[in-house]
Amino acid sequence: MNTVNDHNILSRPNVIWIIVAAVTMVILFVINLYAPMSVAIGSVYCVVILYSWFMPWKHLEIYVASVCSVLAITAFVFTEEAPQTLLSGINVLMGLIAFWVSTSLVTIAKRGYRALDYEKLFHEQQLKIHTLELNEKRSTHDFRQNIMEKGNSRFQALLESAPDSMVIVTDQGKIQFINAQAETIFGYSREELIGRGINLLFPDGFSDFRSVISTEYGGHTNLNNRSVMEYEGLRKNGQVFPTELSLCPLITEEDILYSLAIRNISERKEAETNYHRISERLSIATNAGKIGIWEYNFESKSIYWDAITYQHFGLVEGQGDDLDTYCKSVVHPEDLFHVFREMKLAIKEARDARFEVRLILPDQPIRFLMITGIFERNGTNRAVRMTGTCLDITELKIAQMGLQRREESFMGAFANSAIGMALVDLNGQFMKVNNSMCESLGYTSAELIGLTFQEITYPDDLNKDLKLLDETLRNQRDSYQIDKRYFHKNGNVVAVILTVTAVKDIYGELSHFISQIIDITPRIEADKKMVLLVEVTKGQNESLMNFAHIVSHNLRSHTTNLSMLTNFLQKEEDVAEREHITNMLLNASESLSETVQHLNDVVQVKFNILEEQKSVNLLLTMNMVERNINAFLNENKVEYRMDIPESHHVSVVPAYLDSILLNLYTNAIKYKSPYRDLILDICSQESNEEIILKFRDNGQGIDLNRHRGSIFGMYKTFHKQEHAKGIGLYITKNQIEAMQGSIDVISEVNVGSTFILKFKNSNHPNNIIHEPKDSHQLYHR
Amino acid sequence: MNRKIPTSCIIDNDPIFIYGTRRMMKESFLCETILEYHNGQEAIDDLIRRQDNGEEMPSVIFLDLDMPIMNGWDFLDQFMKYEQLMRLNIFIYITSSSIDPRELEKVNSYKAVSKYILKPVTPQDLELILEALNMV
Repeated sequence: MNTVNDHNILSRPNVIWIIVAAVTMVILFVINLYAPMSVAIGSVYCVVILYSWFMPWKHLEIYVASVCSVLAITAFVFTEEAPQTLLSGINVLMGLIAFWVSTSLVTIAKRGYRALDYEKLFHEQQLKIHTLELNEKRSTHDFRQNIMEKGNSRFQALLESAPDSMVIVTDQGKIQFINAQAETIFGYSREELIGRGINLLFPDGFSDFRSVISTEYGGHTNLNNRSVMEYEGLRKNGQVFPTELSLCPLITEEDILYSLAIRNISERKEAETNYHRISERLSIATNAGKIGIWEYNFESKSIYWDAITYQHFGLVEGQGDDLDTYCKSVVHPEDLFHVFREMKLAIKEARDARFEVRLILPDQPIRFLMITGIFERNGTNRAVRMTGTCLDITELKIAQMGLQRREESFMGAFANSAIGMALVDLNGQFMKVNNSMCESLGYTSAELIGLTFQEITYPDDLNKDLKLLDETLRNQRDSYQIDKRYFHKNGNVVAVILTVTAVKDIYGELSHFISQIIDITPRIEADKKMVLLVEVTKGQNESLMNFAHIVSHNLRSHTTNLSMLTNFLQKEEDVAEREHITNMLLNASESLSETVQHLNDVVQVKFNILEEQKSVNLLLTMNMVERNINAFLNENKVEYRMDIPESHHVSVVPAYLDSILLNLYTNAIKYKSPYRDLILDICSQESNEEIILKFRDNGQGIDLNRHRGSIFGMYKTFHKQEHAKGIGLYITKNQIEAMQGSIDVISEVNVGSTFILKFKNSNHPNNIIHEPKDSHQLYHR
Repeated sequence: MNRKIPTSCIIDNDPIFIYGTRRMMKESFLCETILEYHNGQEAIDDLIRRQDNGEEMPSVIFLDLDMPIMNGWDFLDQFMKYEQLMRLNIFIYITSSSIDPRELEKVNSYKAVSKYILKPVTPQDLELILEALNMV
């Protein structure tokens, strides 16, 4: 069977070519009639041509034609019948051309056959067989056998060239034929398999071939009844591989054969397995991550949700008929608007959509979903479908909101704290400051942010702060607290308690500092005031004690005198002496009443009488006092120079100021030098919160080395003056101190004294006396 | 007991006190000369003058504390500076109306002061002074 010729003379195209070849031969023959010398050669050639149609040796004609040509050329060369020889040469040439054309055409025809549809061919073949069967009467058995064999060989050629592995089995399952592809995939040779059971190749699928057939066809074998099945194939080497086979009955007149087209589907199976694995993995991942997957088709307006998406939207899978409407009912109306806008934008800008929505589900806390979508576009770049994910971010959102709330409350506390707070970077520059901080330091927030704390720290306090800061930078401490001072913008010193806390970022690296300052300047001022107050009180207490002793001393001395004199008077009988004693008694009682008067004056000087103080023009008061004692001054030939600016106003109790000035004048006159006329030099000058009044005389002066401590004491007298009572300066001092002023003296014996008085300057803003009308309004609101 | 004191001295700016003391002294013992000064300065100046002139010096001084120009304390300070005066061992009695404990305390720090007598001076005080003088 292997030697069977490829050429099938029964095929229609071949008949045509045989006719063409025969005509060619006749023509050649006619030509050769005129050239007897070449007849033999042409005849041989024609025979060869004809023979070549039926002979399997493909190239024999070439050899024969070559020999003929050589003979013809030899005849041409060695005979002298040149014209005839030439003719026979042309004849040979034409023969060669005819041969070449016909063989070429046959070859093309053969190729055309191969390109034909096998199945169609197969059916044609079958049809032919049927036709032959129908024409049985005309056929003999031999003829049929011949036809069958010829058909088989065509059929086998088809099977060989089929892309799939083909096996033909009998209805008993015996292998009748296999093609080369089947040999390859099963690893057996043809010889090994022919006559063996198909169960050898498919031990599971075809363990009982007959039963398979009866299941598949149930006795109704039909040409068009093909069945496709998947069985595992077994290789010779024992390897198992998945196959897809297509079983088809072949009906012959003797029996029914079955063709099996087998395809190795390992790759497809593997791809399927991979696909399953991937989708399984995806499903595990989406389940674990609670990632819902959804799809929306813009054309059909259909929505697909997976189980998780349903769950996220508060439904059970498959629940809800109209998901679109459902969505619109549960999504927060505000978000719905954003969703539409985002979708529109995403479509317009050809990007992925991403939005967050809030779901309001009945009887459930609000739910946050993060939804992303990717558009699929068609050829015209129109969005046809959108696929995306859906993630429940409620917990994240709640955490975020909590964080935000904490941050807001921190910022609120920061902004409104009564404590000065600042965020300071690692170089000491202010990054953010609150109002209290600005207020304490006198800068605006914008001014402070450009500064470093080093720039506004009081130089003496900088090092201790830097030392602690350095320790914090080196992670040796997390915070520190110190007392320190800053410079206020106006140059004043601000005392604070500073607390610095280091803030670390998520990597544990130092990020910045939080500084908190408690302004203790007012406290320190208050402390100072208190110390002053304590001193004043102590002084007052002391002076009160002195006063008490003075009082007791004076009263005692007078009363003892009185009692003594009374005693003498009782015993005395001498009239003159009695009168003397009576006079003394009178003096003593006068002194007593005078002393009581003095005490009264002293007691009237009250301390801390701020509310009674008024702003008084110093010059006017001076002039008034002067007018009152004008006669006295003239009598004593007092010359005076006055330099008091009209603008000088002092905060005083007017009666005290009168009394003080009067006392200064009378003292100056009382203790003027007996050797020269009195010259007074009175001037005032303004010094910040104070008005300083200088009252200079050229009188006797006081020996301050001896009397410095007691000059303003009670009943201290320094001159041999009869009317020196030692009470004037004591009262003056008390009065001036009651008005928060002071008095001092510089003096030289026989040269003169200068009293230096300091009063509160009522023009200075710190000393402005407020009318208490605001406090009245408080009661009438 | 010798009831005679040749010379005594009163330093006080209160004329009534001087009158009363003189009168009381007259009743208690015989005192030929009673020197009278109205302040410390007057007293120290005159005492030094008397000493220089070899005049009779007082054996007792009644000294007030509260006086103008120079008070009793300053007088004591001045007095103690003069070696010649100190050598005389004059009895100095401080006579004052003050009951200020600080002043009583201060008195103790002056060796020259014999005693603090709270005014008025009584006959009993004078009696004690006389006894003290006789013991020398």
